[in-house]
Amino acid sequence: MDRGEKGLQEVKFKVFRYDPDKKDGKGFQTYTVPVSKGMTVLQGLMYIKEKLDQTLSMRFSCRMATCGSCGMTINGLPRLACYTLIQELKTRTIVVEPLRNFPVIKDLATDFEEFFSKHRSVNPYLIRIDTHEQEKSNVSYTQSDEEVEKYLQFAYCIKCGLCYAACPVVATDKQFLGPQALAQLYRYLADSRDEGGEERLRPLSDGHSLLRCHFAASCSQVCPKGVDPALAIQLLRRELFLRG
Amino acid sequence: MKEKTVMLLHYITGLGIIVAGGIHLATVFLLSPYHLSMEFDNNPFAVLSVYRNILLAGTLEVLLVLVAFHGFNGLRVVLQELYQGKTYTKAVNIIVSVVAVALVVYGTRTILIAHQLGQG
Repeated sequence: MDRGEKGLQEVKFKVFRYDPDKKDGKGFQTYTVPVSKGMTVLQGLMYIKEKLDQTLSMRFSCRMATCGSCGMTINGLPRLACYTLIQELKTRTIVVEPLRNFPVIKDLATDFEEFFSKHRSVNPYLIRIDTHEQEKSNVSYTQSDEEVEKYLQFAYCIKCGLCYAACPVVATDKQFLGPQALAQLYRYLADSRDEGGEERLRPLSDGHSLLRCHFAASCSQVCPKGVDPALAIQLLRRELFLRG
Repeated sequence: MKEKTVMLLHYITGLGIIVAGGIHLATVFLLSPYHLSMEFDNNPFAVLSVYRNILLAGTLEVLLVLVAFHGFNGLRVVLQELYQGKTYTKAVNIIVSVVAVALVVYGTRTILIAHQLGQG
């Protein structure tokens, strides 16, 4: 990193710009940003938006890796901008692009419609045979520690889309459900309170939903919450062959 | 055939290739007159004599079927990932199956001929 006029270190942000309303509105723009200790990439982008270029579009909200809004490709890898320290990147130039496998709306903001529709398609909620009991229930469903352990890590998903952006199968096969939806499907299948069972597995027998995963495991590599979607997919595959 | 069944067979044939390949190599080195195939220049029929062993010819046939299924199914999966569409998927399934079956038939014919010539 270089030193700026005030003695602060400086890095260059090479940011992908895209404006759907302009004919030549696609390309990179470089900004110089002063960096202080502990500064995140999101703070760098906010500095650009506040001080250098107000036309920059991006999505963010909680700034503490909880909402999953600020997913973007930073130096080639899908990461949460609020969870990535500039210093940990150890480069003078930080390349920021929108998430791959998502249509770009503007600059760094991507369209999550397809992602969420795949998420919805796996019925991400508890299915009970007695629906009346589920809606008007006055009893609690107790679980042992072992039963909770079976799905707990998959329940930490914040739907940031990083795993979906990293998946090489999603890049080629648009019908593939993707690691996030499949991990959520397993999360409910493994839940002892759920009675979805075979009904959940039935849609997975076609050629694109589950069986196309090549186990690249890049989804698990990039997850900021420590969820292991690749493991969920393998466990789901086992369930499909044994029960489906 | 259901996609689930095809993929289960894909994994089984993958394991089968390792087992059948191991048996085939062990047969070549331990049971058949392997050294004869190295003396092809002196005896044009020597290389065929390895096919005389029914175990070797048999494992070769099993390997042919396993590799054809596993390999062509892998190719089918790759082609289906490149592009998606009902007609395209159906066409890929049919073409790949026909080519795989043709390869197995031609390979079986070759093994049988070699086995008969190896007899002598």
